[in-house]
Amino acid sequence: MAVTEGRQPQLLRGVLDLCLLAILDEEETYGYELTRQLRDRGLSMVGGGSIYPLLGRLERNGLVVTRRLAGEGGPPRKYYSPSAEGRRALAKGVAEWRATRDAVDGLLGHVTVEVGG
Amino acid sequence: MNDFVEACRREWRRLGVPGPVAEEMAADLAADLDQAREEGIPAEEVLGDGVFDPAGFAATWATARGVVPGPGTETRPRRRWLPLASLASFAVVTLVGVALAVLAFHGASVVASVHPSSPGLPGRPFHGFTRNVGPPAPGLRPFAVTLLLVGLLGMGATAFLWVRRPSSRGDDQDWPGPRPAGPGH
Repeated sequence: MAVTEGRQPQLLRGVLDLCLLAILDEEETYGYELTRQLRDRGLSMVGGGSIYPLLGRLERNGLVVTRRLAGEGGPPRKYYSPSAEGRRALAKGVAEWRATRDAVDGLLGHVTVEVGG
Repeated sequence: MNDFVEACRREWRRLGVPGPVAEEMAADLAADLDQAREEGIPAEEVLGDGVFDPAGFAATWATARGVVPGPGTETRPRRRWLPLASLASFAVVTLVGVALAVLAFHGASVVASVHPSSPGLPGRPFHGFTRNVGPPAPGLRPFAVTLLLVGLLGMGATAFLWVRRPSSRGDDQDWPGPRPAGPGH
């Protein structure tokens, strides 16, 4: 199910950098392809214009390394992959995400609210 | 190159983004938008709300990359010679003040000058001549003291400001992205 409304885009924006690093850790790729992969994973509304500045920050902070590669019949593209520092940041961020998720689940997981008419 | 990319390019130019960096960003953006169009993906999905505000999109991207010369970023070389020139100027003022003070307070009434007694004959010894210039002018003492104080205070202030000058980099104040994990973190 695609994340399309409510608070989910806001929640996911907080970990969008981790999502990008996770995708890049699987495969070196470029900006539009990241957008497509997020869309394929049901996160299309999270990315949008956020991806470009976020990639810029990751690059600026040395969490990704880049190189220009010729596309398949297309123009040269800027390919991103996580640096060693980026992989460490990813590992730490994932641990933080899991801890946060578990804590929130511990609180909200048992909530059963009946919405009256 | 579509209008959106052109608008971004104009904004980067206005912001002072270095040309090669702006060209790289424009080329990547154009390639992405072309690919999206070929695949039938609306530009909104690539650009988000930024599709309605190319200038804002361009500025946000460039700022995140750290390629916008901000208030704390120098757009021209720092004038490093300025403190040195200031120090040298005040040192000259101080020296003149010292010289005048010596003249005024120690009653020097002569100024020595030396010139050859026979200019046409090289090798002949020089003879000293003195010329009486009279007592120091009445206002010389306060003038000398003022010069001395201005020179010394100026040198002190210049040295103080030089030591306390702000750091040259101030463009890293926005969100720096995820902090890398490291030993002890």
